[in-house]
Amino acid sequence: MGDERAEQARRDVAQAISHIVREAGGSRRAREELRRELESHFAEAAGSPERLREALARFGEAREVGAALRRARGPRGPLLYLAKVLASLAASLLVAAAVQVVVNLRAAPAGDGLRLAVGISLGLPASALVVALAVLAWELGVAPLCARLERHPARLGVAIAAGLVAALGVHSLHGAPIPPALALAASAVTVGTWACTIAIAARLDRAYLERLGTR
Amino acid sequence: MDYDRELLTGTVTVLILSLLAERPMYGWEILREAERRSASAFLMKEGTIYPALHQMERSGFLKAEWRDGEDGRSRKYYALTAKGRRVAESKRRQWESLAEAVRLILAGPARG
Repeated sequence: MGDERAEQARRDVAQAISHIVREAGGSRRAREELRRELESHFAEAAGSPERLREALARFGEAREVGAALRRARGPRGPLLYLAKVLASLAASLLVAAAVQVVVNLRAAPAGDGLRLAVGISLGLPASALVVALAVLAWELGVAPLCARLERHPARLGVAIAAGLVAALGVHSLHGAPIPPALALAASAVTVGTWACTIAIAARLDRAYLERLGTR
Repeated sequence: MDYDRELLTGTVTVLILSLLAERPMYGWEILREAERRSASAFLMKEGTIYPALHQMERSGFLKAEWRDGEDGRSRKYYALTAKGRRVAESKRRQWESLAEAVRLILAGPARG
């Protein structure tokens, strides 16, 4: 009798697992992986038929769990992630380009309106590189580079100072020293672009996670 | 105690991230640890943990690997990624701040 109860409990668990895996859907590999994980879960309660039944009761309705697993897997997940990254890049590039335009605006000679300085031909691609690196750092979770500098004035100051030293050093090495004021401006623009990109990436991350329901 | 669903929304994520910030764990272990630390006050429907774990893995907060235990059983362990650590810390601070604010409000007007 005891063996029958144990066998029935095991069958009930196996049935529940099959139902959950079926509801969750996905590739064959994903389903096998899920089945293995669920079997491993219930194996922890395998001491007696009563423990198995309790574990089954605590687990919840198979259909509901399966549906939740299907939503977690979500076929739109990878597309949504790609859209998020592209949106981060696009928004940040737009901001970076706007900053470069403002920084490179000059009064045209003879009061002929405004023009863009030659420096923008270097500034734009450099900014694009900064944006790309910042987005990459964010997506890879490289901790020190993902700090929200705009929330930490001291760190922002240190970053700009480091940029200033780097700019002076690089130009000096190439035998083309630049005025410290220009180096400071370049550093401030670069660090500002980086900080804006990280802030945009963080904001879009929150929206993405809200959409996925993990926030 | 049974908690309102709306109170629990978002709690599971914070709890999982906080526990995994200490060490990698498998699903059953996370549930037992949450139960033990809350003196059984927190008993979630156990099936809810796997959708949460899988979603966080897909979001890049967790990484998973199968490990063979000394008892010969294979278990799927989850651990925080660098991104997950950052999110865990952020959520922990937010939760503590919120809990303190709610506690102050529920405590009523200051005496004296």
